[in-house]
Amino acid sequence: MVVAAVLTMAHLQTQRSFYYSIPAAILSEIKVGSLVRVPLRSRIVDGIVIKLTRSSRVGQLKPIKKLELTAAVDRQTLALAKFLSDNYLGEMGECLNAILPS
Amino acid sequence: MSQRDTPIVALGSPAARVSFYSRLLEKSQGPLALLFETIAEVEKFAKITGATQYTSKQSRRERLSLWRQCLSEKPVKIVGTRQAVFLPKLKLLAIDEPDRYGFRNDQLPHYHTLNVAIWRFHHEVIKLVIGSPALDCQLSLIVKSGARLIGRGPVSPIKIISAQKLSPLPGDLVVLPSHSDYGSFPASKEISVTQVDYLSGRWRRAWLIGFDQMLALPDYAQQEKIYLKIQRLRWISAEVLVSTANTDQVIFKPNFIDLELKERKRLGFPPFGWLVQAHLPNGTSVVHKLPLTINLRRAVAGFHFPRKTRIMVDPERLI
Repeated sequence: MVVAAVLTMAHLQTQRSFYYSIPAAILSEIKVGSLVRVPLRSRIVDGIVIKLTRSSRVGQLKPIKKLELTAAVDRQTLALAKFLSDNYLGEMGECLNAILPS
Repeated sequence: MSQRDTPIVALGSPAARVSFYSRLLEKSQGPLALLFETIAEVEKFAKITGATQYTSKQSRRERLSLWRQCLSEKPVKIVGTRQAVFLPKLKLLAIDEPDRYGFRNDQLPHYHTLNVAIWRFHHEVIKLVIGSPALDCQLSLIVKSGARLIGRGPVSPIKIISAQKLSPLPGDLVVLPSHSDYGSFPASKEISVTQVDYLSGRWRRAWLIGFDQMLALPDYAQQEKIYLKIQRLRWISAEVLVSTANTDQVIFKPNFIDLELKERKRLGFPPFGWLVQAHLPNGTSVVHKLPLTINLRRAVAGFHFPRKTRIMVDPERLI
């Protein structure tokens, strides 16, 4: 089963990611850099897919709720976030948060 | 960076600029974004042109939908506030009056929209258009570095008068240093100097009263800010009268912006240096002026500020 490691907006600063299963309906579209909605505790939050992998150490995974943007974060977006981070001393997570429509 | 284009700096009255942007959006192709400072200005322009809005008033669903359209490079015309500067795959990015305060992000990261737009111009194939009532320090440097200047500056005359000769008439506009000065000229329309940016209509005469007090704030860019207020007033008033005790101030010189840039360069102020303000947890703040050549993050780390210190970098720096 392909699973996605998702960095949620709430954890952008700590860079802690969580694994989610990918519903079959979005499997062909989802990729690294996609903006997704995922369950986190009792809430549904935004997150960025940072890795797609065939296995996970976690047994039962919650599924990704929704694929919002297939290619939200590309090389250009990361470069722009790095520019903001370097010039205004923000964390990369804060900068990506400012850029994306969440 | 596109080798074909240079940025365009468009000078003109508010009405002339709106007309220019309308024509620009009409004849350009691809996802296009025009940025205004306020939601009210965005709504007004959208009503005139039918452009799609992108502001904090739009729902998450609407904003995501616009992102998708931009990502697929559909020919969508967008008018928005500062966050629209990040829309992807834009072919044209236009900013109206980037010196206005709302183009600075007041949350982390404290970016300046114009600097983001300039970065995108240098790293993507994107046309950049900047509209303004007059050239300020940043725009002057942009023009000097090769941007195309179109339009013209304001033409109404400035008259410098003594503080003893104040005689605003009913129907005149009176600009005062702050709200607390209201009531001095009850027959005239009184506004504070910060409201000049949001003024509309056409005035016979505009008075700047308490001008020396307006300049007296401890801000290295205060003279430039007041200079721009005067230039704005010159577009909407047939005559601008400035009441001052010192008629020989540098701000009245025709080459004021050049002199200001020279002075900032000598002293290492932005855009020729970093200005970093640290808001300490005890409520006080300190300011450090640093050379552009340093690694900013490393230099700030070297100050060993206490935890929970909020660092703000003055955004008046060009890339």
